[in-house]
Amino acid sequence: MTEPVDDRQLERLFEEARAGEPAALDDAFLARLMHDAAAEMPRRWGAAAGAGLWALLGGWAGAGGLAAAAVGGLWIGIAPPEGLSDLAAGLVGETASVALVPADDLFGLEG
Amino acid sequence: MFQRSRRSGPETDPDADLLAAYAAGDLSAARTLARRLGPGALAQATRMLADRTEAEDVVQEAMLRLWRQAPGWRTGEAKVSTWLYRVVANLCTDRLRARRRKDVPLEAVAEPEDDRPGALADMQMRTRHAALSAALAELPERQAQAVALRHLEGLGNPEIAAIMDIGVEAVESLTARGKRALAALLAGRKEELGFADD
Repeated sequence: MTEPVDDRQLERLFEEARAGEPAALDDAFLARLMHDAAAEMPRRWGAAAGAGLWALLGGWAGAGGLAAAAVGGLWIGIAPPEGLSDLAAGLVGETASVALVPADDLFGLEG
Repeated sequence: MFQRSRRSGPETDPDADLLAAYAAGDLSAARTLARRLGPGALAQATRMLADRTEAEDVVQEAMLRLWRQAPGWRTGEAKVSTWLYRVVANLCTDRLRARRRKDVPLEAVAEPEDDRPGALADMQMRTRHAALSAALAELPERQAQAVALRHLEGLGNPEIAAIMDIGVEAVESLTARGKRALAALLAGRKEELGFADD
């Protein structure tokens, strides 16, 4: 029967395999890696742009404030507090009102 | 023993910082990362496969997976270098398995003839490296990875355990069994390896 390769011989094989370590990446190979890295970037940029807009709005806190202001404005439009018309008239000299909801026959049930 | 530039302290991982910068849109961070990790990964793949072209393909695939992992990378769970060792080892054993299925002869792996001084010794060394790679291909995947990480990369057992996600005892067992199997597999090639008269 053939004797196995001994430890000393095996270690020599390992040493020789380790000795052949490439020193650095050549330019062509680095260019291949960077081509892939760049190709994967657009998705990152898209995500980053979305994240940037969210941050610009102030994140959850900012968006919450924005929503509260919108609801408040809508409410004032529908049911203005007493005296607001007088205040507006005083500031701009005249008043105009626009009915957001028809005062009567909302569902066209009459006539 | 031989130290690898891919190692760094356990408390920080500058590679993870670079990966985060890349994920945030900084392409130059990817270039720095490729320059830091690429040579070590290429050396690892070349040692296992004994073929530079195949090794480059493996490293390109491993780095592509890294770029894709970047947005979801969770700092603190695994070091980037550890992750890369694992991916390269897995891709290399995939290649070795495919090579075994195709039954690539040793002559096909060795380089063509050369007239330079020392060319014969170089060729003998390449033949031995190719024989080692071919024998690794015959081992069970985990044994091949453990032997390569221990004896070709020179890593310690705890580091190999982290890379392979197993215990240190399992690493010791895989390495010992793998080495014995390699010695038996190479026994029939002693003459070809220049070991016949040893």
